[in-house]
Amino acid sequence: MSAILPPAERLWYKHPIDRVEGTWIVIALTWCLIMFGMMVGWHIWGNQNLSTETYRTTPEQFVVKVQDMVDKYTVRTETDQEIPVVAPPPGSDIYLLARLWSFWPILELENGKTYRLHMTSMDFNHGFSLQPANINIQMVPGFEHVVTITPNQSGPYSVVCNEFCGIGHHQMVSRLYVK
Amino acid sequence: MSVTTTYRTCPRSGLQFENQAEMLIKANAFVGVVWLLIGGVLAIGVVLTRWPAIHWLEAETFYMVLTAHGLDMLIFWLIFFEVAILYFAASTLLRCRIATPKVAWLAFALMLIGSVLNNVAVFNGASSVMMTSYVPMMAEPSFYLGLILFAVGALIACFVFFGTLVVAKREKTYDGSVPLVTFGAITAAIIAVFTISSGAIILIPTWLLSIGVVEHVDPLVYRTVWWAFGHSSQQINVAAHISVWYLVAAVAFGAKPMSERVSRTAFLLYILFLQLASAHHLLADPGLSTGWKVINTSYFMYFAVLASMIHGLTIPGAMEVAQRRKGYTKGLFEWLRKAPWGNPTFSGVFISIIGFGFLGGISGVMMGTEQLNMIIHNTIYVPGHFHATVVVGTTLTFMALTYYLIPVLFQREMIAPTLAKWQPYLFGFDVLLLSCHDGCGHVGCCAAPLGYVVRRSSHGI
Amino acid sequence: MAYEWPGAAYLMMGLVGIAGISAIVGGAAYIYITVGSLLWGKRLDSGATSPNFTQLQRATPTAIAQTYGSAGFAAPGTFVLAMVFLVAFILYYFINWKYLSTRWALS
Repeated sequence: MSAILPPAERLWYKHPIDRVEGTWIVIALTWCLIMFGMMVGWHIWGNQNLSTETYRTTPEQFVVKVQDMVDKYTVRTETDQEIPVVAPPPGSDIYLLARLWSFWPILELENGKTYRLHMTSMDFNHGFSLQPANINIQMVPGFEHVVTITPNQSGPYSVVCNEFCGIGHHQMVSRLYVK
Repeated sequence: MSVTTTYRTCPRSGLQFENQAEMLIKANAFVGVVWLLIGGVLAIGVVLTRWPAIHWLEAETFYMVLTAHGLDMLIFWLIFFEVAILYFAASTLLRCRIATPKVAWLAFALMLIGSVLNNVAVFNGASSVMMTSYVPMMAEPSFYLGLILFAVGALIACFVFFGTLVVAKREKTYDGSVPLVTFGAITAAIIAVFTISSGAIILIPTWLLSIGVVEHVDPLVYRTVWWAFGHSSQQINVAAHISVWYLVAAVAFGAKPMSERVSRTAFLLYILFLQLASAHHLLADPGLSTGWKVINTSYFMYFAVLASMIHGLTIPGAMEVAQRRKGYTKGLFEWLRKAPWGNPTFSGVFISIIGFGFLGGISGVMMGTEQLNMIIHNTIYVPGHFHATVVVGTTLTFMALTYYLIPVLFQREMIAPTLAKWQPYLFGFDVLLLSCHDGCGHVGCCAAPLGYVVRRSSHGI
Repeated sequence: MAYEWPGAAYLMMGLVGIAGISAIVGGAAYIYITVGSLLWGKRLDSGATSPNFTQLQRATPTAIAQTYGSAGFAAPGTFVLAMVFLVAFILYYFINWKYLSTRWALS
């Protein structure tokens, strides 16, 4: 009954630890160290690490960069809103903005090639969720996040907003193509 | 100093309840359960809308209902009930009068007014911002003000709790160190103080932003400070429900903690490492360094995880030792087979231990791994995880505790005992199934063929 | 929309719906039992009252129950459960790293 009573021994901190507890603590601690090692190790040997390269930005500044890319590399438009589909050269800086309630523009990338993707939000927090690749990154207004990506599968992808951003949130869906 | 006190000795449990304290415990517990009821009714709206075949509520109503459901459950139900537990741990377990009952009632009033004000704001329709209320997506000023008033009330209640501990020590109501359950409650209260302070640091400027006094709140600063409040508030829940697990082990089995030192140190780890471990909510964010993310989610988080793993062994271990002492020594598991599975206080706690550990804990640590976070951030997996921790972990434990308190605190015979016998199984297993299916299509081997991970907080899929 | 959601996503959310409704019924049962007991439950004896408390005494000491366990473990059954937990944890953890490794390269 003594979890609801004062401990039997005055010097309860001197009571020896039982073998079951001691063994489990060592096992659990070792496992925690292994998990720590995995995170550090993946940065060295793994291919999927979220970049933290970030710059402060404003909607006006970022829109200029997006428009520049759109002017140079648009190949067609899609949907009724006539969203430009942009095919930038491999290795280049590419731009994606999120706003209530759409992403702009649509990117068309090449499989196996690397790009530096710059992302930000024009207004509220949005979520960048690329499906079926299942990569999920937060888009925070005022912060330009630069992530180096290399697609590994051709096909059509959806870019879905997964941070609640108001009444149009569930309709905030766009596309991305990998050739 | 003469203070009139009246103690009643419960004939069933031997606990001595002081009159003022008993009223405060009952009031806070009761209001907590009212918020659970309201949150539960709202859950019907959430579940029947996210069920694609039914898709009941239209978007605007759904987002409003979802906001209210989150706040009413995660904040108002849990914290009201936890204040009741704090008073129980300090007053009833230590046989001490509440230090300043009038102040405790003030705290109760603030919490009540705050929670109602916040709900009114949400149901007005212009504050559907989810519990997280990330700036610059703004709610009405009374949304923030309600939360602030509630937080101030809860903070005052914590200080009444600490004051009661001082009175107990001074008036020598107990001999030796505080019992382990009270120690766990102290842990919860300490975490609550810095949780609520973090909340105040960010919600007060946000409230001022909503009324135009402040011009700008940085969105990333908001997220960082809010999660210091948001995650730590869940750790209040963990410290509280683990304390209740020890309590139930004691009253159901006469179990004794295997080692006071190990259990108390494990509680201490929560206090030391929690606040910083909140970084796992920000792993997918820009602007925070990798080093900061890794240190927080490993060094700091893992010490808190270690503490949970320790409690996860010592509590069933204490039950096993107590059962073995009673003669259930056949094989490895007779102690468990012959445990009082028909007693809802025990069954609720045991389902809670298994569900919290296996589903909540494992999924939580996976999500909090810096790189793995990217595959689940803001997906429906997250509600899957937290329903396992907060509902099967904390809520089911509090439900189990209520069954014990109905005769002991409320002095009533429980109606429908057969229904009560089955309730923890029905509730516990169904919430675990909900969590599993929220998580499904995410687990490594399933997600690849499934190909799509449903997002959270969405009216659509 | 470029990529169509797979049918299994709808199935999963449907199963969430069913489990959720069933859980809400369980929650309603709890409310019924607790509020009902307060309203209609038989009043029980409150016990003796007094203006004073009796001091809470320390627990009676008990011997460490090493004789009841096996291999010197006081709680061998719990240890086995803990190891099952650990194995589940390790497997689940590495399955997810494997899945991550199949995603696009990111840095």
